[in-house]
Amino acid sequence: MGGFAMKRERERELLRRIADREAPRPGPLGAKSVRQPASAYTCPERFARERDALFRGMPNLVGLSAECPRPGDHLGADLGGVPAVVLRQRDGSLRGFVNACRHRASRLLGEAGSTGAAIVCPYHGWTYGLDGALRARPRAEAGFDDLANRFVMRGVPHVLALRTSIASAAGPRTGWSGDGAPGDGSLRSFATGAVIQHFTKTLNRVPGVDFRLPTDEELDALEAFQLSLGRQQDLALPLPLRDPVIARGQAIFLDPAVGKCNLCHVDAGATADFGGGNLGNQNFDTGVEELPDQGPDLLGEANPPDDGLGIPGDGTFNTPPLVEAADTGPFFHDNAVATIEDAVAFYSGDAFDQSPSGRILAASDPQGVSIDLDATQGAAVAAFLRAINSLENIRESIGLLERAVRGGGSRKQDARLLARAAAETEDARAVLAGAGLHPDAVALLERARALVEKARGSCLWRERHAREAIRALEQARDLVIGSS
Amino acid sequence: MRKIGIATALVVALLAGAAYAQRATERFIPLGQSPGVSGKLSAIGTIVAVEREARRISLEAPAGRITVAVPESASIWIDRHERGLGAKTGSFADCHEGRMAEVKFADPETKQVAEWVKLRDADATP
Repeated sequence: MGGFAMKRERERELLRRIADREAPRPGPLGAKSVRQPASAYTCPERFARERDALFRGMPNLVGLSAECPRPGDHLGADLGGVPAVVLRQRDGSLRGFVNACRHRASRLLGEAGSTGAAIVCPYHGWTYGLDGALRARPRAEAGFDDLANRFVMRGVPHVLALRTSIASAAGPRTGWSGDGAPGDGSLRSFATGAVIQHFTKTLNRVPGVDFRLPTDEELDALEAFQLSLGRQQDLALPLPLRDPVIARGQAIFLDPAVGKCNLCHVDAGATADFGGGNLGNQNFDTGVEELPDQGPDLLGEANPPDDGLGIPGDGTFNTPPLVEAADTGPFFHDNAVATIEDAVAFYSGDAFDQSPSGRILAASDPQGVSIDLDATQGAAVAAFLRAINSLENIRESIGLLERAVRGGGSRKQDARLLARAAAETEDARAVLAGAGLHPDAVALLERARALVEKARGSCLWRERHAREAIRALEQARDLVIGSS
Repeated sequence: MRKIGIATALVVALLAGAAYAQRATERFIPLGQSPGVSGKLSAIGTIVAVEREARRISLEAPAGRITVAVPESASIWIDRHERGLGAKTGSFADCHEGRMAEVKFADPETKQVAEWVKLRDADATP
């Protein structure tokens, strides 16, 4: 009975504490108790700090050495988010490794067990010795045979405005090398290469087993789709741009004695004209590979040189169109630089100066200079590229909204058009706001974006909101560009 | 004058870089199915003569007999898909009389030099 009475008393005390939220609530340790906010258990930043403090930068206990008695025995562990494995060597020593394949970072070994004489990645079969040295790369013929020279990483180029940007006298050029398709190398054949390269079930790449080749009808349809993406024609520069810095950037871009950009990017597209007529889309060696502080090099990662077009490569890479460039970074074939400002500055640097293209430009210049823009000139060219990118996004967004307003499509199709219009409008806003350009237009683009979102969420007022969004987009455009 | 100077220098530089069709994926396309090439820019037929020293092969194709040089730079692949196997890199030594082959011409006008050669797997069912 006494015990029961005590429990009742404790119960009352607890109820009092719950009722009186302001009263101090001593924990089981009395005054020494520390109260933890709930966020201590949910905050990701705090979790990362705790993990760094407790598990990184100091020895960690993985297990007992007796748990790995024989060569090949191993113990795996997660050390603060880093997968690690400790492995018994042939000489009896223990060595620790990051438990990830250097090919695609797949986890190599499980928590505990024996790997025998070698470690074989379950993903693509790359094989390592117990000392961690790479011993074999199966399917070497698929491109893994010469890690030092052939295994390169390239950025994903955008696929907008293909209709204007891939034709050349030597044939269509797709991809960073300009050799992006098998067969006749055409855009139509591009899908065949994509299926073989990316959609194969195994790296044997046996047609009819690992993939199905596209039919003629599918190739025709895919080509038509690719050609429909983005701009259907090049700009006609100069544009009547309102902002004096942006207009100055355009003038520098077009000046064959200063910016020289228009020589290889006619009208900010992807075709070249050196004064003798349009040469179509071309490849150039601009020295991007020679940039001194490549990210992977600084991180100690394997960074084999990319030799560009052909086998062996000639060091050249394909010219992309610039109208869509500013918001599609990082830039160049190896994603070497992050911003459009950095990309413009590259052409005034030593790597370009010393490149074959830079030397040819310098040899043709009365002062022997390739391209030498100062900081304000470079910033102006970048501002110009941001402005034409934003104008293209606005054009695309208006077109999508007009299609949605016009109707005729299914509800699902309209929803897709509005979603794409919202994305294009956001791109138009972000690319200007990213450099503090045209805050007035940015405000209108924010309004247009909000209206598109309203249109997406409304059945009754969808058309009205879409039309208002079009008006806001047109006003924003008119702030960037005047009538010619 | 400066424009002409730039034009001359860069056009000379560009002439060296003709467009390529991607060889890395071409090898996996079965003989006779290369998009835009088979039946247009290539010849398909049975090898009827091999000149080892001159690195030339002659094909008996539907349009008649055709002889092409196969330079060292030309890729030679063995199409093994009929046996459910992946394509294999071959060599000029794999070019034998009686073997089915597809030859893509480096220059479709002259049809004298091969850019690549696909050979039908010798073990495939005839």
